[in-house]
Amino acid sequence: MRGYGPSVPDRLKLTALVLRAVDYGESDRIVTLLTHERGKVSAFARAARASRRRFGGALEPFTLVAAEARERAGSDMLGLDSVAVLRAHGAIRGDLARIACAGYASELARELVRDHEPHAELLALLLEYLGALDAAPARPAALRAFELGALRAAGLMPRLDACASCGGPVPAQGRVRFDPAQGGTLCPACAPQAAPGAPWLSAGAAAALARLQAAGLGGAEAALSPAIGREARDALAAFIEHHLGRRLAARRFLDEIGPLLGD
Amino acid sequence: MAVADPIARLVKELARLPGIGEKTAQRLAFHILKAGPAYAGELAGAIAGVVRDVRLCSGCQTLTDKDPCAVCADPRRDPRVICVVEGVPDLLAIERTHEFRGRYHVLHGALSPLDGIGPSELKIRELLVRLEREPADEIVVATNPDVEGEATALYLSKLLKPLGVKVSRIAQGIPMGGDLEYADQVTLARALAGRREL
Repeated sequence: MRGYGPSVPDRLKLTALVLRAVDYGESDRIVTLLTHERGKVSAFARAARASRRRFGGALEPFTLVAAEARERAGSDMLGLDSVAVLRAHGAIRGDLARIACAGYASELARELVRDHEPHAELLALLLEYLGALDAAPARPAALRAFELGALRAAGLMPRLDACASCGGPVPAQGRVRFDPAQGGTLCPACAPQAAPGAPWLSAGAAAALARLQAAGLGGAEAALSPAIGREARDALAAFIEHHLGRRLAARRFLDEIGPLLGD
Repeated sequence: MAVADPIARLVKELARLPGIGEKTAQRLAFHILKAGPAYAGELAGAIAGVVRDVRLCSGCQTLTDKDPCAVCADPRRDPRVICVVEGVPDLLAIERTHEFRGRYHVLHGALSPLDGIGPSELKIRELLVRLEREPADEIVVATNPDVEGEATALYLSKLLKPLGVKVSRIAQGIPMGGDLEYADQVTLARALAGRREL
């Protein structure tokens, strides 16, 4: 029988990765979660800072949690009731390079998806990358493979094995034009149509990126040489910046501390 | 707004403060109006005074109206031990313990990979300049035990250890009077990882 009192919102059970946590007011927090069930959502964690018993350290970025939440009337934001840690990825917090890479990967994932649209492939990829960072030191090749995988999951995969404009072959030697606006590498005939400022890549760097794209995160075992690593990093940064319309904050952080980390 | 212009102006200014919405700003404005001219004068004087008189200590970068600040000027404080904190409230919290007899350095923030806050936005360069001028034996990093605080501690460690200075980190884990049963997994795991021999 339907009751007459105010309706009680349904309790939601979510498997959620904490992407970001921002302090709000005296003691609350607003967290951005990438959930299996509802995609990217924001959730309000009342008294998260005042009571260590309520959420403890579970709302720190990179933590995978089982969350209980409810819809809030008149708001897109969920109300977070409780969380239990499924995987803390604690080793990431003990290494500056791992923190920087995990922060960058989390921000990229956050910016590539819209709210409330489930992205199981991207969530799985981010968890795989955070798992790798939890188990071993950060490697540039793995971060490039994550970027390529995240772009693929978001429907923005750059074309690296052929010309993005005509489909023709790209040179196996010398230099290749990489145009984010046209979606990837260009053959010599299409290169003059590239947008002004589109970067040039050595054929070696283009081939390395194509290999990483084909092999995925699990196949990103081989290290990139420093020169090819820098080219690949800058080309993907330009591609991501073109499609997002801005440079990611975490990219700026990586650029600033990179020399200290040997990147 | 259907109120006198001076009230509307005050509400608008108060609503620019962090955490203050339109309704709270209105409530505060009417409270100030009701409290009378003496209180309004004291409040205005206090606001003007804090902006006019408070500056950063040239030694530790804390907020002070005298340079050097009281801690840096105190000859009983050990200049060879420096406790690095994110903000002035953290300095005050440590002072309340009456346990620390060294000096401080306030970073005015923490590294934040997710917000793009890098070393150049903190008072890290000032710390290096200070260490050149007044070498220390130990730097105690007392940043918060969150991702930003850990990133800051790790960065300082990489930066300062090559200078031959000991870099230590405040302990993390179960709070005094806490209950293991109610501790969250992350805190408990950190407490176990940081266990020490008795």
